[in-house]
Amino acid sequence: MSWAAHELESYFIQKHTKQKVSYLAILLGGLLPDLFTKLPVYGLQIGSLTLIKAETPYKYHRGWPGVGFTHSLLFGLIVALVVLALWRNRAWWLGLLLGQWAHVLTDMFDSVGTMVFFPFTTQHYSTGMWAYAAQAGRYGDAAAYYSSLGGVWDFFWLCMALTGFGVFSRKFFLGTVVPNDPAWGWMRRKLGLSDRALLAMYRSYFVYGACRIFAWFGWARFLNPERGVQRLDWSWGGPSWVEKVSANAGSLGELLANTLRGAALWALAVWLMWRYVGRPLWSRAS
Amino acid sequence: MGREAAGYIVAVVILVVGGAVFRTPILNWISGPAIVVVTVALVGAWLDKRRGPMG
Repeated sequence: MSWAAHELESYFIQKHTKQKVSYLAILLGGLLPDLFTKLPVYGLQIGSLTLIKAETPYKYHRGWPGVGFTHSLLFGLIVALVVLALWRNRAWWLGLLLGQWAHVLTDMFDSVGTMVFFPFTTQHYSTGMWAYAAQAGRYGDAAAYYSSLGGVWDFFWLCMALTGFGVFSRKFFLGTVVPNDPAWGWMRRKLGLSDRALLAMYRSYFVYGACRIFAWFGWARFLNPERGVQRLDWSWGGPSWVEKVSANAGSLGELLANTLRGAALWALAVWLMWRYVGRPLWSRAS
Repeated sequence: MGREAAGYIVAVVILVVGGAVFRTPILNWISGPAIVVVTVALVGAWLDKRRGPMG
């Protein structure tokens, strides 16, 4: 999983989307797959007790049976269509779709990956860039992630967000972000929030995402009591000191067959959903 | 230094130093961004009061 990339990607996506898009929707879409599913991955720690913990965290988090369907492309499309039906807002439809799809594709980089074409195949797609280590608990996972290329991946997204530094300006916020999304005007009117507070809300996930990288890296490297063993390892698939989990390591033929079937059925489902559900909703929306 | 910039600097210090020490209670997706918003609002209001509206 990615620790800060999902927050930072939202600014990059917003900058490079040529259509009218809601920043809040991109952010929510990016957080959506983990929003209601993450607690059982690490479990709830009360003193020495660990409650509500999944027996096999990676299967629960990314697999099926489990909540792995939240990390599939079709899930994002369905949620975006429901929101389009309810609120008739194209900027929110597009934002949710892009944010959730970005999350699915980003999580392909760890050793477990995501079921991109679920439910048409349960094949996981993974580059194996760093080790998925949620089974080691929250702090074990943090130490592994920020000792591996995972931390580099977060830093890459921080740099990508900074390439479009203009998106953090007051001018961009008031001239582009606010007019693209009625939610900001609603917060200004109903909650009485000042422009300074709204701008701080807009920038907050960037500041949080950036600080999260340095805080966790600082903890992993300088404060972690096990830092002597849990060393920095920027090799592909590292760190070598953690138990790495991977999902369905089938043959190449199996991978190709699953991909052909999954991608073809997925494309058909998307076309049918757009033809009979999406397009009528889109034409009614503004 | 701008009033807003001061608030962001304080937020960064809280998140990086406090986050490295206290970890999850500060570095989660609700309290982390909330710290930024509250810090910018409070520091800005404090500086407004201290310098006056035109300061």
